[in-house]
Amino acid sequence: MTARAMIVGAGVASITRNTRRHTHDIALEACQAAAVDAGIDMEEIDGLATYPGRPVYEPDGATIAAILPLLSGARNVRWYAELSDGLVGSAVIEAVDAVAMGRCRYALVWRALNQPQYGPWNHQDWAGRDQFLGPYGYYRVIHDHAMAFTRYCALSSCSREDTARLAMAQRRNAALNPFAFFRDVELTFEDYIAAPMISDPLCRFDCDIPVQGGWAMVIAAADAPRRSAHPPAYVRAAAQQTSVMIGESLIYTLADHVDVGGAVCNVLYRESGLGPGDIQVAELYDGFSSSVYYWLEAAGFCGRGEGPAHVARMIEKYPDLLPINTHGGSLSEGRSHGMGHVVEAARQVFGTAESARQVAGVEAAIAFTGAPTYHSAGLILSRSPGR
Amino acid sequence: MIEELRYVSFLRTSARPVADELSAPFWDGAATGVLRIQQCAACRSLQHPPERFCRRCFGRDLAFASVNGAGTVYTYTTVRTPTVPGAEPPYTVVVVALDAQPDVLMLTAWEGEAPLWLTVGLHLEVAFDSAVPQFGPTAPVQTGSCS
Repeated sequence: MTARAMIVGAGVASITRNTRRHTHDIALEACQAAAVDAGIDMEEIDGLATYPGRPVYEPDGATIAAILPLLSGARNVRWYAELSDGLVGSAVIEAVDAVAMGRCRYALVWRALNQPQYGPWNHQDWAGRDQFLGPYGYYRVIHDHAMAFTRYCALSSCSREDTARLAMAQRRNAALNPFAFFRDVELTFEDYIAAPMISDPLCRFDCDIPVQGGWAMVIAAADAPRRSAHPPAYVRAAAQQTSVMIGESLIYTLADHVDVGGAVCNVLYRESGLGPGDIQVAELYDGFSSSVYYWLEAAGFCGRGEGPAHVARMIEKYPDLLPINTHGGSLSEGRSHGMGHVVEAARQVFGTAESARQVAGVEAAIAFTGAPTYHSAGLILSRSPGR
Repeated sequence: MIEELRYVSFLRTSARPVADELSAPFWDGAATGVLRIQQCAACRSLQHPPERFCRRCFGRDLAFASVNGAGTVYTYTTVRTPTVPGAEPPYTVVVVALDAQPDVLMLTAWEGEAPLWLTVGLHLEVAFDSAVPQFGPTAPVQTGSCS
């Protein structure tokens, strides 16, 4: 299918921790950077989309109501979508569909996050589904991921050496990304092995780093005039999945973490006419390191249980720049819930990643927002609009 | 039976389960030392947590069946950060797949780090420590030899 939408600009706001910077200012910085990169004036922006929730919606979620008044010049908006669930990938897909349908021509999509401080839960009474979890001390997102990963490690040969290698390679990528929170902080094997476990087998360096950050893109109809200095990234396919819903079972099984990603990827490959062999860069949501293996397997880059061996082979082949999570991923760039992954995939296709981080000869990139199980969505971006 | 299950210490928390219309038979059973799981009258499928409909055949006629409390370890994690009131980390939460129908998963939680003998597939039995069903080994577990 010929692409009906293209990403024409991408921007990242400075990524920080423990500052008093307001989420609205962060979102605005990312939006302005994306518009400048696209060469589009705010007057031309006629569509807006975001997902303002998670981690903390109120009081400073970067909603459309909050951000639109700050986008000086954006007086011609005729379409918008603000999602209450589904993470940011769904907002991106809404914008892709809106420009394809002619509801708007240039849609600005952003995601800005604050940095929540989660403590333990204090309530004594646990009702609904939680009545079967709370009495066992089981209630964090990481617990679900840790459970799946324990089983994955038992059924494959994945070891802490494997996850250390992955985290270290992403950190080396982050050193090439001027926006990455950990751009100047080396991660050694000794650092990884010495890091405290949070929920075994996931240690601190298997978890994304919560940041104050913002990411934005301008998505245009494929026939809209282009004004960027770089080529566009055509959206060859977009897909999301709802095959596993929260609350259906007590916990996510390993199958819930791996199989459902395959459903997203089947749509992406069918719609784009491309396959894993046509893709040079993979930006794989990594709220926890284990999700990188699940996405690699779901997307057919390797067989089931072969994620760790595949990563090891890729590191050997590409010691200077792993073409997986080239921006450092959320482990090392900062938690973006996948928006950083889509922005980085676009920049790799544009050819505008900073020189040492630019993968040579990128024709197509794949990006996922969310863990396979968790409101996930994916996109395939390409230099070519397809036929 | 409970005496035989002292190879682990079950975690006790201050998190109280609030029974509702759907779950009351489950908790009533646990209070009297019986594991009761919701069952579809049409397709005989077991499911947990209880629902208003059968997740397999969408039948609406559901009752509770007393089931065999044997199961195997599906997976586990050791929790290292405070999560719920009264639960002092580290403790180990284990997901148990019931022998009666292995896609029915239940939790149990043990004080401390994961014992060296804890592995995926290990056989466990239900125990009723307080009113919260737990699972533990029924005999000392043979750990691997060096041969």
